[in-house]
Amino acid sequence: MKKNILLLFVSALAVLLMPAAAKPEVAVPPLTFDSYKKAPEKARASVHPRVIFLDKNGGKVTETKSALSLMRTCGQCHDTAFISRKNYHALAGFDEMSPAGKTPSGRPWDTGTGLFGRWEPLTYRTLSTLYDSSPDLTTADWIRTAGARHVGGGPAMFSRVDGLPLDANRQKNVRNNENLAHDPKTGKLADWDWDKSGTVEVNCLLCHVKSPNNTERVRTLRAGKFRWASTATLAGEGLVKKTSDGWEWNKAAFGADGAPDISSFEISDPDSSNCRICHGRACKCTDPVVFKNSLDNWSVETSGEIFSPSRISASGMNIENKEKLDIPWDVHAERLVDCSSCHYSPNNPAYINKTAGGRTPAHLQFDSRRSSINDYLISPDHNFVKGHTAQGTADRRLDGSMRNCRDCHDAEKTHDFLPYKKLHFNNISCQTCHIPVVRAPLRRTTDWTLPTFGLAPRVQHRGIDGPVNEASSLIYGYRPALLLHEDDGRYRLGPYNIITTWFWTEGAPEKPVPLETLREALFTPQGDFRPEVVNALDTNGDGKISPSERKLDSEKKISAVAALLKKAGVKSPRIRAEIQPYTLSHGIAPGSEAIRDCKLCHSGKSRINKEIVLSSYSIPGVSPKLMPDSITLIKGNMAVTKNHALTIVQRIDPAVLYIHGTDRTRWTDIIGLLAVAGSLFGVAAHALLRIISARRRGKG
Amino acid sequence: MKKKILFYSVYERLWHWLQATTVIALIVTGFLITYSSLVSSSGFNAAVLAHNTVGIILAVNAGLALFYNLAGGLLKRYIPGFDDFTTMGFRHARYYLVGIFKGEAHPFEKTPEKRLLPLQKITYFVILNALLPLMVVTGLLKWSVAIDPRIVDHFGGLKMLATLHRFGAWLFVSFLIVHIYMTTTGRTPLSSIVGMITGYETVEEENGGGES
Repeated sequence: MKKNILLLFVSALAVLLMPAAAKPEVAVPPLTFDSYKKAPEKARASVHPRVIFLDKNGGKVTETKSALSLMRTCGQCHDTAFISRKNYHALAGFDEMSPAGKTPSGRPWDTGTGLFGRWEPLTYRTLSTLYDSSPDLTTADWIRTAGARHVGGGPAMFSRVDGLPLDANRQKNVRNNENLAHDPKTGKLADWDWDKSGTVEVNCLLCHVKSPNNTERVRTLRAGKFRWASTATLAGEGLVKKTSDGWEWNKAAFGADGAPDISSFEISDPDSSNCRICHGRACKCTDPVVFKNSLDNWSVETSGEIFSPSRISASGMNIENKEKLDIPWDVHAERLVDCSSCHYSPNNPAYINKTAGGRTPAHLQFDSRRSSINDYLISPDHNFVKGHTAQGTADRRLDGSMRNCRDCHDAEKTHDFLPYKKLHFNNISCQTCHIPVVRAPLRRTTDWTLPTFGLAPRVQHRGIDGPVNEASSLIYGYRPALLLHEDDGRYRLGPYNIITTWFWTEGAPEKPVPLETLREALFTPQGDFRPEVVNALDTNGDGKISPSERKLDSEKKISAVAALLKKAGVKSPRIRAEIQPYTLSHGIAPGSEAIRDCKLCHSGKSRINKEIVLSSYSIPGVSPKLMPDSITLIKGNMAVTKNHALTIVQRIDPAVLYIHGTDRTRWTDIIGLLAVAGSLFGVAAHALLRIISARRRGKG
Repeated sequence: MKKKILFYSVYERLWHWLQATTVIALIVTGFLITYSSLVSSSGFNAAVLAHNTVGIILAVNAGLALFYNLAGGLLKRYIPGFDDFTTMGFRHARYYLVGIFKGEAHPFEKTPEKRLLPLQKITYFVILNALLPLMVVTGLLKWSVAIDPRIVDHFGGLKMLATLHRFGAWLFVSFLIVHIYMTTTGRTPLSSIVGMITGYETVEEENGGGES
């Protein structure tokens, strides 16, 4: 009986324990974004009410068959006048124009600080002054050319003469570069009819719909049909279709009230893919990264910045040691931070920045007063907050308005390996260590002194072994140059790409020689270099100028080209060279990849004072000058290496930034060494004399 | 007749050797920070940490010594008088420049109360009143950037402080060379060093001499 009871007890215990014992151990995956193969799609808000599409005069577009006016359509609820006025994307320096030569760039031909008025060395295009008799870009030309990267509004709507709308029909008889444009077929100047073209309103759709058709928008701008640019942005959504002479609204897609079903194109706040339209089309955020370098991919070309959550190891690019780079292109993108998370609207009540503007009393820890959501949605300030960049020359008054890294990250709670944390954080931008290497080719040099017949400059890139955009070329990456930049009244060290540009200028006041003039001067009508150029540049004697020979690296070559330019009517041609730094702020590596090697900076071979190659060749007698509006310091000696490369070896003034292990005062060491040597010599001589005298005395 | 006399108390010996160790450690680590290519990155980091730690020990040790000498009324030992700069100083100098080679007796008798001879007094007066404070103050100010990087702006900036600190370091190295050599000029080459270890020095009843 006892035995049976025991057996029963053991059996019952076994049955009770069985489920627990049989339960397999399940490894719980870590709850991090690394677990995702793809970053999740951002949930789109679809709460936007129906909108009646209106034309410029307030009529329903379906009835008037006119172009969509977003100022009127969006203006039914939002204060579009305020939005377009408080908007440096729209103004593009329009509100900071000044007479030629009076801008912070110091260029005698610049009239503005931004895209409108500041010469762009990468594209070689500039807005000409109103009465320049041989203009490069008139206002209409500028819209057709730069409009691809301009959101509309500002100078694309209003006159730089009096600020009135360009199509106000009151200055038709004034013959200036606001009423003229180059005929794309003949290249000659002709009158521009603003009534016919209309103007380009701020294009809300570019940023506020999920898939704006930028290709059609740009095509429409280039065709000079400015009024229709906003309409073209909706191409492909079923609302409008292209016809032989314009655009036609699809009435069936609209309700009787004139409002379309907006769910098809999803009106919402912008996400990073909207920003990428103009700032760099490196990737679709969730796909493996594949990109090409070009000016269409602006951010990659100028600064190698790729804002993607995708893994570098999963990239389609030919990157050195790619298989070991199981890290995201940008750690913030991986953690679902998007562009507007940092570059937010300054009056967005969710992002109120206590320190912005310094208008709150210092003792106030939290200011509960803020605009209501309603007020914000009516009048959102589109002067998005921004940081300090060398290239962001427009609206410098907003520099530093964004929250910096340390507003979100308490760096002192980490970085335990780092001595003198406060000093490092004070003097060095976080990006200095957190962008250790840029794994994309970046533009190094643009040489316009001898363009191709197709008016392409000679371009050099950094960080790639072989021609750019070729699959076989190995991208080995670029360790950024570290420069000092002005930040709230003091200098901080940060990572940069440096682009040097060579180009011809003429006359007084100086201005760039138009590319068309260069083409006429240097080429035959058939597109071959003129014999004078071939004689001077054909070093291998094959009667042609190969790509490697297409450079003015000797006085003789410069003289030959200058003579041709003079013959073509160019007055006093000379070569000018500029250095434009580009601040690197994106492409942030995870902490595990950040620089921890103190000696990279603190040593005699510090990367801070390393040699920076500006160009693989130099042009004699022309020393590139740093753009003065770049708020950046580069001091050092330019030199030509044995390989004929033009370099600058930076020497940061220790009075501005003293770096232990790198900086030393020479006279201190000289005097100190003399003192030590003198002491050693003195005691050695004294000791020797003591020994000799002691021996003599011993013998005596 | 020779006899052994207690010259240095336990505290004085401890102070001296701790100071010697910290000064040498600071010179070595300072050298490694300056010429960082000689060490690895972790070595550089360790040198910085060691330099700061040892620097604090030296400063505290110097402060305690000041208190010891002030409280004990011993400070006057280190203050040179007018004679030290003139007649006695010249006599002392003459001995090292001439007399020592002729086998002359040391011109001054060294006693526990008058352990510092004229040139020593002058040297230590400069070291303790100028060089050591210079090193401690510039070192602490350089270190203060860990607390607030703006502090150094009121003192000429890091470049000025680093230059002064470095200049002082060279002078300390020079002093160390001469100081160690001078210990060999005692009764025997090692007698002064042994004296600083044991506390006792052997002196002639009629005459003293030797210094460090």
